[in-house]
Amino acid sequence: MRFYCAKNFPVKVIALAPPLGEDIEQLRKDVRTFLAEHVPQYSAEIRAASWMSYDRAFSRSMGARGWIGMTWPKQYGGHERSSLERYVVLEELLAAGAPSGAHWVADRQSGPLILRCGTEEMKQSILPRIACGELTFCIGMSEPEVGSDLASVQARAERVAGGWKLSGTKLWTTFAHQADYMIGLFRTSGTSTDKHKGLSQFVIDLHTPGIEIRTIRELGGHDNFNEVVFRDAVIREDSLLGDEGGGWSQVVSELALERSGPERYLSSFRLLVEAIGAADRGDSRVTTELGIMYAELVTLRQMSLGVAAMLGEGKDTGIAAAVVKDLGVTFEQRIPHAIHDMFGRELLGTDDLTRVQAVTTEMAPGFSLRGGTREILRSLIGRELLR
Amino acid sequence: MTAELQALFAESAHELFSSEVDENTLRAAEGGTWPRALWKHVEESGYTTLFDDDELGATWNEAYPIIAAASEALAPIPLAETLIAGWLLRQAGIEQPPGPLTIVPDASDVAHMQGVPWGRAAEHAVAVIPGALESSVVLYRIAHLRVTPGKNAADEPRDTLDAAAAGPVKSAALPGNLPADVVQRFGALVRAVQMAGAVNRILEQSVRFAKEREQFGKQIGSYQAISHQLAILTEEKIAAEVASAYAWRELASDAKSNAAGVAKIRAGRAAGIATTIGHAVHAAIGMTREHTLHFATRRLWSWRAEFGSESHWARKLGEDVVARGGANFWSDIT
Ligand SMILES: Cc1cc2nc3c(=O)[nH]c(=O)nc-3n(C[C@H](O)[C@H](O)[C@H](O)COP(=O)(O)OP(=O)(O)OC[C@H]3O[C@@H](n4cnc5c(N)ncnc54)[C@H](O)[C@@H]3O)c2cc1C
Repeated sequence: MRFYCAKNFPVKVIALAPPLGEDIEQLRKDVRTFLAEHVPQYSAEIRAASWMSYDRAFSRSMGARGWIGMTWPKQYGGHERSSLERYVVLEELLAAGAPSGAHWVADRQSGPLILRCGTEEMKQSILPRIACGELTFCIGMSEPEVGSDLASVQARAERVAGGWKLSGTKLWTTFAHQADYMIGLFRTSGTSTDKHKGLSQFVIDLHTPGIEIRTIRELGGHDNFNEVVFRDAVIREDSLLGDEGGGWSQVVSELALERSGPERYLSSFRLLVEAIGAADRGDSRVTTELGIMYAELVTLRQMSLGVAAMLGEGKDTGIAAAVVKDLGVTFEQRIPHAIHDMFGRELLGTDDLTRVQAVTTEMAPGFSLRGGTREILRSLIGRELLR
Repeated sequence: MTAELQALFAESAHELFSSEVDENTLRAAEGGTWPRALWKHVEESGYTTLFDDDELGATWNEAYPIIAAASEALAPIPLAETLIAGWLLRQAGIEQPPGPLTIVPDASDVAHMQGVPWGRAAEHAVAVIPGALESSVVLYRIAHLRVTPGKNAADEPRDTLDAAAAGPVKSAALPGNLPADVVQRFGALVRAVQMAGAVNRILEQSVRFAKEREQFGKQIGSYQAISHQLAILTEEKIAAEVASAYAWRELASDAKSNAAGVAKIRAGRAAGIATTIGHAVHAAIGMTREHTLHFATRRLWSWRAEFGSESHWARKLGEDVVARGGANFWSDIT
């Protein structure tokens, strides 16, 4: 018997993305120049939240520069650029702390999903408006009784004359109160015990009568997520996204898009920047910790870039994305506590460091929940290993 | 050409190391037997003279898959050391002598060069001697030196060389494009690659064990507590691999790149986590000398401290980060 057999191993490696070329670095420069002009006027707290800060005007100015829907076909308002070019724009937004919440979800998953599964009419009417930063989307997956076990969705869509009638409740829907559309997962047949069978996705205009949106205040005092109640709201027949009953496999591929991006390790980045400013070069405990974080960041970035390159080649990224998300959120979640260990300042909000530290500390527990919990991701990876 | 050559190298290196290195090779090497047949095959494949223009004329980039394959197999030979030594000699305009070579991690006191990997097995050693104005690359013939045998926790030779009484056989100035700590940097780089390979070995062995071993009537891998540990191990393996592959590419074009430190830190962290999980999953059987898990775990505990530990590199990188300030942090990462 051979001593080792790496080649047949079930979990594939993440190959390095090719080095970013001259033209991509030029794009980075352009983005930096734009951000240096548009971002410093926001408060340190807004910048700390970055893709959790919402500003339609900012998103429209991004759209005007061609930096939303970058990889989509030109006929739908896209710019036919590479997944690595898009990656560079995203990481620059996060590093600067740009308030990107109004277009983040649509650019990352709703748009690509419509591009892949939507009708021609949907693609023509919706995608160009996302790409100019006009339309904003939210994700309607979780419900009061349905979290990790997403396949047991209870909200229902029923065929009625000329459309679909929606009933049930979606919960924790980030930015639903600000968004134009939701892509929602509903049961179109069977019951919640049928699990992944009988689920379908819909593109739902949130201004439809019969939809009530109630904002739920987060522990840090921010109004980000919502409860969305559907009381027999009737949407158009052509709102069905993809195949009736094909919702589960669509959701699985959507989650892969949601899990590997730079927002999965850069959510605490602004805090790190503030902390470096406050650090003493002679304090070896602090410099050692910062050096470890630097190494971790460089590595996570290469992993995340590698997955972006895989996406560009149309490869299956499910497991690789789960790996990046679990390692990435563990890193970004550790930062506020590490900064506390380094400086131990009271969170009185008397300077930028402690203001940013308070915001980041309060957001951090959610990092390993949103987009699939740590336990769910590890089970996903473990299952693949032991198949 | 590079990509093709790399794929070809990967294929044949994998074939060579997976068929030539087995449990007996490793046990014999730990007992002090030089794996003559393995080294001969490695030499015949041209792996020890990769950078020789007249032969393969390869670059660091093309060499990566060979070292990666040797690392996954835990090949008990100074191949990485020979590669670094041969390359350094070439850079300094000195001809590479035949046979296994090694490098001197710290040559600040030539009477007491400690922790030299495979010192007694190598025929020549290459050191970079720091000087007031410039550093020099020197080539020692080991037979001329006093060798005091030593070993690391994995029973790999880590010897002390004394060159006080005998000078080098060749010496030349260190080229200006190479940093004075070039040996430490490339040493850290190859140890990071080796660590990624050893972590991979632990993962493979642990997954296999989790499928075979049963308790309470079920394979232990079916317990979530175990499968989550294996998931973490997978993440660490991928992180160590990506960090070291990335650093390899960076150092191939710039020997001064701090990516060597990044890789050494990240692979070193993975080493701590992977050895803990590997042993936890294997439980008592993994604690025995008879089982093969320790070939990877003992090497990891040794390698993570060689050519600069995580904290050594982290302090260095962290001091740079603070000196450059928060405003430059992001551009230093990209
Ligand atoms: C900031 C934030 C924003 C969010 N935004 C959105 C959004 O826009 N749209 C949306 O649809 N949802 C959103 N969510 C919801 C998020 O997707 C869910 O919180 C997540 O899927 C977990 O569901 P839950 O909270 O109901 O926890 P539960 O599923 O009830 O889990 C509770 C605990 O049990 C563990 N657990 C559950 N099942 C298992 C199992 N099989 N094995 C081991 N452990 C298990 C979980 O890991 C967790 O620790 C958001 C959440 C947060 C925190």
